[in-house]
Amino acid sequence: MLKLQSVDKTFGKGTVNEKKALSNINLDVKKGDFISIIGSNGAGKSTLLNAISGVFGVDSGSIILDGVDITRVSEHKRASVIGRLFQDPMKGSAPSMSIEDNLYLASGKRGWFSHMTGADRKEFRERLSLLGMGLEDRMKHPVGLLSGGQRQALTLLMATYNIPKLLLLDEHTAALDPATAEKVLAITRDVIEKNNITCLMITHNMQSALDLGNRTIMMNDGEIIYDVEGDKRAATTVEDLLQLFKDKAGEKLTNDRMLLS
Amino acid sequence: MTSLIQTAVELGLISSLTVLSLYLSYTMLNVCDLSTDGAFTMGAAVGAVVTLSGHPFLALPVAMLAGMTSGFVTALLQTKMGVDSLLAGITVNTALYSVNIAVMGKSSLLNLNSADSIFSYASDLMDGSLLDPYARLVAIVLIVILVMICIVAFLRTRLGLAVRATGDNPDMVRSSSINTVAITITGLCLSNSLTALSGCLLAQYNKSANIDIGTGMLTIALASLLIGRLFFRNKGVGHGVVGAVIGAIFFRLVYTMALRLNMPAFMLKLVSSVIVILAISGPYFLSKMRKKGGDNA
Repeated sequence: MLKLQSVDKTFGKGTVNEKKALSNINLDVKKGDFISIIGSNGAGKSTLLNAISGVFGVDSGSIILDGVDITRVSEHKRASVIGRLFQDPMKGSAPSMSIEDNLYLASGKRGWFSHMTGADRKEFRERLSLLGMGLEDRMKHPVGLLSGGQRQALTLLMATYNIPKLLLLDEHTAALDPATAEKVLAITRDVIEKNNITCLMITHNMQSALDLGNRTIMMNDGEIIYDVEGDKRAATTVEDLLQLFKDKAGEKLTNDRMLLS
Repeated sequence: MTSLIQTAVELGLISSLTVLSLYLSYTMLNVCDLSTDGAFTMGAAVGAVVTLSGHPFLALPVAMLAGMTSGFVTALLQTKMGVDSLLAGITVNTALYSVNIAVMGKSSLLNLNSADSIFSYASDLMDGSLLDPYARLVAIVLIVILVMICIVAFLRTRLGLAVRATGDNPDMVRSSSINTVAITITGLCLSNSLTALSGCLLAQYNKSANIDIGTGMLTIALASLLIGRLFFRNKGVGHGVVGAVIGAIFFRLVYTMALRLNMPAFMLKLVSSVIVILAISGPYFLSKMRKKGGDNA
C-alpha cells in the first residue's frame, strides 16, 4: 500500500556539509504491516519518515500511497491520511490550548465555523478514558500542564482519531521514563492492532523492535541494509541484530538512546 | 473631571479594537504585525472618505474591508513570497502612507466637521433622554461588546482553534492536515480589519482624519495588550479578550491622569514605549534573577 521507488535525498548539495541522507531507497509496505526501523545515529531513519510525510521533497524517485503518487503532494495534504508522532512530546499538541480544543482540531469534525458540542465532548471523554491516564477528567486543562507521557498519549489519540492509512512513529517513547514509555507503547500497540493501522516505527529499543510488529528494517548511511519478517524474524535475537549490523555496516551499531533489552 | 474620565474611557474603547486586533495577531497567531500603524490610518482615511460622502454607517464595513486587504497583502508577503514577517509589515506600512494620502484625495487631512457620523446619529437618537450625555460612550460600548462577542465566538470555532494552534505549534497544525498558510492569511485579514475599524471610529470621533492618526498605534496597543495580560494571566480566550479591552481603557486612564499631572501630551509615545519595554523585559529579568538565585542555592 506504500511504495517507495528509488528514493534519493541529499542535504546541502554542493556544500562542504553535503550529506546523502537517503540513497536509492526501495520499500514495499503491505497493508496492515507494522514495521520497526532501527539504525545508528544519522542512518536516515527520521529522514525516511520525513520524506514519506512530506516535510521536504525528495531529489528523485517516487512515493506511492494506496496507488496515488504523493511525491509532490504538500505536507498538510498528506497529513489527512498519514498520522505522525515525534520523539519530542511537545511537538504533537498545542500547549496553551485545552485538551478538548486540541482534540476538536485534530478530529476535523464538520465545518470551519462549527463549535464543539456536548456530544463531541462526550465522545472525547470516552476516547480519552481508553488511554487510562485520567485525561478524561482534565479536558479543560491546557495541554502544557500535562506530563510528557500524557502528552504523547494524547498525541497518539489525535493522530489516530480518524484512522490514518499510515502511522509514522519516530522514537515516540524515547524521551519518556521507562515505565511511562512502556505504558505509551502498550497503548500504541493496542490502537494499531484494534484498527489494523499500517505503521512504521523507529525505535531505539532493540527488544521492542523485535517484539512489536511483523517486520524489522535496519538502516545505515541512508540505505536499507537488512529487512526481515516472518519466521526468520521470530527466530532473531537482539544479539543477532547487533552482529548482523556489524557484518553489514562494518561497524558497531551505536545510537545515543539505544536500549538493548 | 468626570467628562475627562469619560473621554478617556471612550478613547480607550476605540483603541481597544486595535488591541483586540493585536490579541489576534500577536497573542494568538504569534505574528508581530508591524503594518498596524498604516492599517489604522487606512481605516481612518477610507472611513473618512465614505463618511464625507454621507454614509457614516457604511464607512465602518468599508474601512474594515480596506484593512482586510492590507492584512491580506502583509500575510501574502510573509507566507507566499518569502518576505520576512517583520519586513513584510514594515514594507506594507510604508506603502500605506502613499495609499492613504491617495485615498484622502492627495491631502494629508480630511475634515469631517460638517458630516454626519455614527456619533452624531447616536446623539440625535438619545437626545433629551437620560443617556444624552453618554450617547457617544453608549455607541462605542455597543460596538466593542459586539466585536468582543464575535471574537470569542470565532476563537471557539474550528477555524479559530486553528488560528490559535498555528501560533502555538504550527507543526501540530500541519499534521492535523490544516494549511498554516491559509490560516495565517485569514488571521491577519481579520486582525487588520479590526485595526481599520478602530481607525475609522477614531476619525469619526475626532471629526477629522489625518495622515499621522495611526503613528505609534502599534506600540500603544501593544502596551495596552501587555497591561491587560496582567489582569488575566493564562486564562481562556474569554478572559484574554476582556483583558485586552480593560488594558486599553486602563492605559488611556493612566495617560489622562499623567496629563493632569502636567505631563506634556507629546510624551504619550515615549510613555507607551517604556511600558512595552517594561512589560516585556520585566518578566525576562525576573526569571533571570530567579535562575541566578537557584544556582546559588
